[in-house]
Amino acid sequence: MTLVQIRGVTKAYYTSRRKDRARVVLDNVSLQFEDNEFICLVGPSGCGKTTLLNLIAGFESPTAGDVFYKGTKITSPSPERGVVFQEYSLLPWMNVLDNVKFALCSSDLSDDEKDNVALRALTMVNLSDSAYQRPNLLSGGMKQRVAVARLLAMDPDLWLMDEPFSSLDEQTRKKLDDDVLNIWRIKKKTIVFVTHNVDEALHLATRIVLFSQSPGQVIKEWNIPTTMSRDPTSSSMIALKKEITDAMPACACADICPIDIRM
Amino acid sequence: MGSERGPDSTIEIGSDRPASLMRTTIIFILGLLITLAIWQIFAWTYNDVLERGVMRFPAPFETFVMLGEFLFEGKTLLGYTIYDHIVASVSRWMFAFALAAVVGVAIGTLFGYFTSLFSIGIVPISVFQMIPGLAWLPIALLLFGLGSNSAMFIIFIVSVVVIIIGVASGIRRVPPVIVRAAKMMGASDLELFSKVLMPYALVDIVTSLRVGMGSAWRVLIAAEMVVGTGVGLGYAITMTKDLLNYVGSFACIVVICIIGLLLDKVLFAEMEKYARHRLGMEEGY
Ligand SMILES: Nc1ncnc2c1ncn2[C@@H]1O[C@H](COP(=O)(O)OP(=O)(O)O)[C@@H](O)[C@H]1O
Ligand SMILES: [Mg+2]
Repeated sequence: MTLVQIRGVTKAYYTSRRKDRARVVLDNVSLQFEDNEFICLVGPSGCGKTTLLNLIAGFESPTAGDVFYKGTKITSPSPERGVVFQEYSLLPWMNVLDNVKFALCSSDLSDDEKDNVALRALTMVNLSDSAYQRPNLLSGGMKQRVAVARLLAMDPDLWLMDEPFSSLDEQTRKKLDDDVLNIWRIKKKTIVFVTHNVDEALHLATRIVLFSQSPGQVIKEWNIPTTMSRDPTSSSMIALKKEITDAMPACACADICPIDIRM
Repeated sequence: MGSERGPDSTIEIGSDRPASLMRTTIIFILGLLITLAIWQIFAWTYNDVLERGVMRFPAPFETFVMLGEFLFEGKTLLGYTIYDHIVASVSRWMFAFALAAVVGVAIGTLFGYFTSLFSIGIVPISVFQMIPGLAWLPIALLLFGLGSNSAMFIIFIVSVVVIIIGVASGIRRVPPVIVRAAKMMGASDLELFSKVLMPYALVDIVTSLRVGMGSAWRVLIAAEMVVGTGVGLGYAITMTKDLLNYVGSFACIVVICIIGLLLDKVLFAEMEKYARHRLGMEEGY
């Protein structure tokens, strides 16, 4: 089943206060995400990956084109589409458990049931010991695990993850990547995972989508069969990595020379 | 991770607390003593060294004696006890300030949340902010005439401006990612307001109420001095001054200082501390 359909989406932001100049961030992007896929969006920074995720989440709306979720047009955020943000997004005055319970605010479970669901989610990410701590006592990796636990509690069909572990050290990142992979295998959800790290994408994805530098366009897609070995030293992985790296835009000059259009 | 501590047991700096409280108290008392000393030296210089005038400059001692008479011996001032004056001023202040708090928090939240509303609305607010409290007098008199209502109008307008600006900037400081996270989790508008925006901006809101309260209290006294309220601390000061009862004026001023300090240092400082603690801001985020 097609979960997300992106049809000819263009997104531009005004770059002047008089609204007579704009900058195209996404240029006529069309993509389709199927059920139970693990999609990695790869591309240089500033190419519009976060913007695309924001459009799917419903935080913003496209300048042209449409985004559909299960056949209906996306107009606003919804707990059906969970997001793990690049920045820390916990409520600082709530302890970890309450933060996870907040993700259930639109469900009609009783408070006890919410407690149970939240605790189970925290156990899955190995944080049940920290349930009563405030976020400020947690390390960066733990904060992002709470963010993952929120989605586990919400249990959306679509997970949107925006470079969730890119600010963490290599070791922690790899560990959390594996945790996400496990969750994906057990829960059979669809995950759209943004990263600028090709190795990370090769480890996780069933499909890799490569974006051009700004304005973002889809350069190429690669499907990775489930039968293929994920061992980074295997010859097929090395070959695929070379293919992707070669196709990757050389410089991320989006932030250096913005493209302006006069209107 | 793996902490054995139970719910809400942050690393309490418990042993430090009493010591630091004692320190602040001692510093505060020291500050008060210095204030009194400056007052005493000034009065002594004025009265005994310069031997300037016909009128004596009230010294601390005689002021506090008269204050004692007002407070404990039922001595009246302009036909009212000191308590009548206090109650009149405080109730005017409370009523106008409460109204300003409700209106200010509501408008401030709207301004803070809707960026377009803010950029338009902040213009008149900035203009109002430039108007010194007593300059509202002509408007107050046109609207309410002489008396208590004019004083309350001035208090209201002065503190509501402070509160709107403080609350709006507090709401605007809420990180967009937090608002997005809440919406993504299905929070309704009401939940977003009460469970995310308000708690996040709590410290700023309490601070703006505290500043607003201070401005309200100061302008209340000034307003009572000019709009002829009949009873009230500000009114008592002008009238005793006109009757050349300077010691009486000074006693009223002391009462005003004590009430203002109590409200600020005790009530609002505690509220602010509580808000900071609730937000886990003491430990940093
Ligand atoms: N709200 C906005 N207003 C103006 N420009 C924006 C806004 N959001 C993003 N941009 C611009 O769009 C470009 C793409 O941003 P983003 O989607 O965050 O890139 P990525 O996540 O791929 O690094 C950036 O150059 C950024 O400056
Ligand atoms: Mg990004």
